[in-house]
Amino acid sequence: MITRRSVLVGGAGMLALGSMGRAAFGAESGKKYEIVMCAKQEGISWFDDMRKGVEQFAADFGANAYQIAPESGDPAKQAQMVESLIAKHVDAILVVPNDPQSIKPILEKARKAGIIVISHEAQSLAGVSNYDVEAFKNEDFGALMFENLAKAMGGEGKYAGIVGALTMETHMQWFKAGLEYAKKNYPKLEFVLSEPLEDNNDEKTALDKVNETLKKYPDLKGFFGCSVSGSSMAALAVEKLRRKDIKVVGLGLPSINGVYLEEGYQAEAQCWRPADAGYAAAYVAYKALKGEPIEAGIDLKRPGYEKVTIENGVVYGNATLVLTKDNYGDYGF
Amino acid sequence: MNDGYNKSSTHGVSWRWLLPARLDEEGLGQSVLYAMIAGVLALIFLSLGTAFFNPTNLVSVLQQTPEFALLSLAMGLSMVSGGIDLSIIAVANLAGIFAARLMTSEAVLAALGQDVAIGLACLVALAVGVCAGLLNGIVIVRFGIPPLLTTLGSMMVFAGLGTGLTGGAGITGMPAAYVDAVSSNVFGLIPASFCLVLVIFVGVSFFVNNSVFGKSLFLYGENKVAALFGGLRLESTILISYTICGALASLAGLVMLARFNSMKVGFGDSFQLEAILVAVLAGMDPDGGRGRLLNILPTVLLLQCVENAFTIASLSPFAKKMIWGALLLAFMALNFFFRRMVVRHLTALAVKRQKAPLGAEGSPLGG
Repeated sequence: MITRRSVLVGGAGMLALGSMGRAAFGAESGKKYEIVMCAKQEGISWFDDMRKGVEQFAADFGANAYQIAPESGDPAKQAQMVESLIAKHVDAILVVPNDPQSIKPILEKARKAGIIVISHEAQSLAGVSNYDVEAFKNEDFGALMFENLAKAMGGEGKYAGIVGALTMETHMQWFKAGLEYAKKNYPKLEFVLSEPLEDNNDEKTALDKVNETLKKYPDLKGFFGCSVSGSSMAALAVEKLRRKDIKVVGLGLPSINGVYLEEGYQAEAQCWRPADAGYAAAYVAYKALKGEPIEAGIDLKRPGYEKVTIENGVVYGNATLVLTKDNYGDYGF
Repeated sequence: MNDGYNKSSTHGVSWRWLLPARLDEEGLGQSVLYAMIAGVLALIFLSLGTAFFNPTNLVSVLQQTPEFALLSLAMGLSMVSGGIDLSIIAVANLAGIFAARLMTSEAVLAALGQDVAIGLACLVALAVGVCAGLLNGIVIVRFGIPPLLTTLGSMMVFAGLGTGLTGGAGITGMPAAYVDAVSSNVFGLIPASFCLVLVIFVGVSFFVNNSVFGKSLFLYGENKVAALFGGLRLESTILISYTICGALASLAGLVMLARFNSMKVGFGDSFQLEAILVAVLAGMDPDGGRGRLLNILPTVLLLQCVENAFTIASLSPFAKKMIWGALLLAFMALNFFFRRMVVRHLTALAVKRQKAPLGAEGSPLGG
C-alpha cells in the first residue's frame, strides 16, 4: 500500500513541478517565427553545410530557425518527423524530401493546418508546398556543364557520359539540355553513345562502366558525369590511365572531387551550395509568414539568389557553383 | 496480492516493498517496463509540458504508430520461438507494391469498380504476406536453416523482387477512398489505423495465449528438446508463427501505403532495428519462450513518444543519440538488476522452505 500512496504523491509532485517548469518556459519564449528545416539525413557533410545556412538565417533575422533530419535517409522516418512538426504547430516547415511522392500527403496535411511549407530539390511538389526553392533551372545547369566540357576539350572530339539512372528526372534534364546546347554551339563535338551510361549512384558500377567505355573508345576526349559517383569515378579512371587529355566535368562536391580538381584529372565540377539553399528557403518562408510579396526579382540575400525568377510555384536562383582547382578549398561540404 | 510469498516477506529485508505483487521474472520485467514508461513520460512532461501533452500531439503520436507497432509485433512473435524475422520490412514493401499496382491499374479499376479493386488489392497484399511468411517457415522447418540466416536471405529475395517489379521507382496515386479510409478517425479523434492495431494486438495475443499453437510455441522457445520429446507438433507451430509474421508485415505495408500514398522498396527500412529493440524492451526474450506480446504496444507508444518529444524539443542529433543510448542502457541495467534480485530472493526462500520442516528458525537472508 505504501507503494500506491508514494506513487500518487510522487505523481502529484511531478504535476506541480511540471506546471511550474512550463510557466518559466512560457515566459522566456517571445513571439518568434519557428521555421524548421527537415533535411534528408543526419550526419552527412551536405546537410551539415545546409544547417549552417539555416542557423545563419536564424541569427540574421532573429527567427527560431533550425534543422532536423532522420538518422537514415528513410522516407518513412522523415514523414514521421514532419508529422510531429505539424502537431507542434510550427510556423513554417522547410523540407528536402527523400521521396517527394511519399511525403506529399503529409505536406498537404501541414498546409491544411495553416503551416507554410517550402520544399527544396522537389519541383514535383510545387503546388503542394507554398513554394519550391531551386538553386537553378536544370536546363541552365546542364547547358553550363556541357559548355565547360566543350571548352575543356577545345571545342571538338568524342565524348561520353554517365547519369545516375535513365529514370532520374533531374539528371536526364541536365543531360538533354546539355546535349542540345552542345549540338547547337559545338558541332564538332560527338556524343558516341546513344544513351548515357547508368551508375545507380554507386561508385563501383560507375568505375566499371567508365573503364569499359574508355577501352571501347580509345580516342575519347571528354567525359561528363551527372552523378557525383559518375564524375569522381571517371576522374579516378583517367588518373589510373594517366591521361590528362581526357577531360572530365560534372556534378561534384568539394570533399569528394577536390582531390581530382587539385591534380588536374577533373577540369571542373559544379554543384550548388547547400547552406545558401537552406538560407534562401528559410527566407522565402519568412517572407510568406510576414505576408510580404514573393515575386520575380526579390532578393534572398545569398550569392546567386539576388534576383530570383518564379515559374509555376518554383523559385529559381541562379546559384550554380562552379568548382575549380582554385576555389574548392573554400567550401566544407 | 497477499499470497504466501508476500506474507513471508514481512520479516524480511526492507526493500521488498519495491517488488511487484507477482514475483516471477516476467511480472517483474513488466513492472520495470511500466515504471520506465511512467518515468519517461514524467520526464517528458517536466521538460515539455503542454507542448507535448496536448490533444493534437497525442493524436499525432497515435497516427504515427500503426505500421511500427505491427512490425514490432511481428518481430516479437518471431522471438517467442527463439527465432527472428529480418524480412518483415521487405515483405511489407512487397505486399504494398502488389496492392499499389492493383489499386492504380486502370484496367483493374475499370473492370471491378473502385471499391472491389481496393478490397482485392488488400486481399492480394495479405496473400503475399502469408506466402512470404510460409516460405520463411518452410525453409526454417524443412531445411533446418537458422531463422536469422533464412530471413536474411529471404529479405534480399523479397526486396529484389520488389525492385524488379517497380524498377526501383515508387508507385503513387492511390485511390482517395483507400487513403481516406485508413487515415480516418473513429469518433473524430482516434485514428482508425490505430484501432485496427489495437484489435490485432488483442486478437493475436489472445490467440497465442489461449491456443495449443501458442503454448507449443512458447514451450518450443523455452526448451526445444523438451518440446520435441513432449510430442508437440513443432513443424506446423513454427510454420504458423512465421506465417502470422508475414501477414502482420503485409498489414504494415498496407498502412504505410495509405499513409504515404505511395510505395517503394526501402520504405521503413529504419524500423527494422527499432522493431527488434522494441521487442526486447517489451520483455520478449530473444532466446525464446518468454515475454508477453501485449507489452509490445505500450513499448512502441513509448518509443514513439520519445521520438516525437525529441522532434518537439528540437534536440541536436548528438544529444538525441546520447539520450537514446542512455535510456536503453538504463532500461537493460534495471531489468538485469531486478531480475538478479528476484532470483536471489527466490533461492533464499526455497532454502528456507526446505529447512523449515527440520525445525530451523530465522530468516536465511540473515535478518
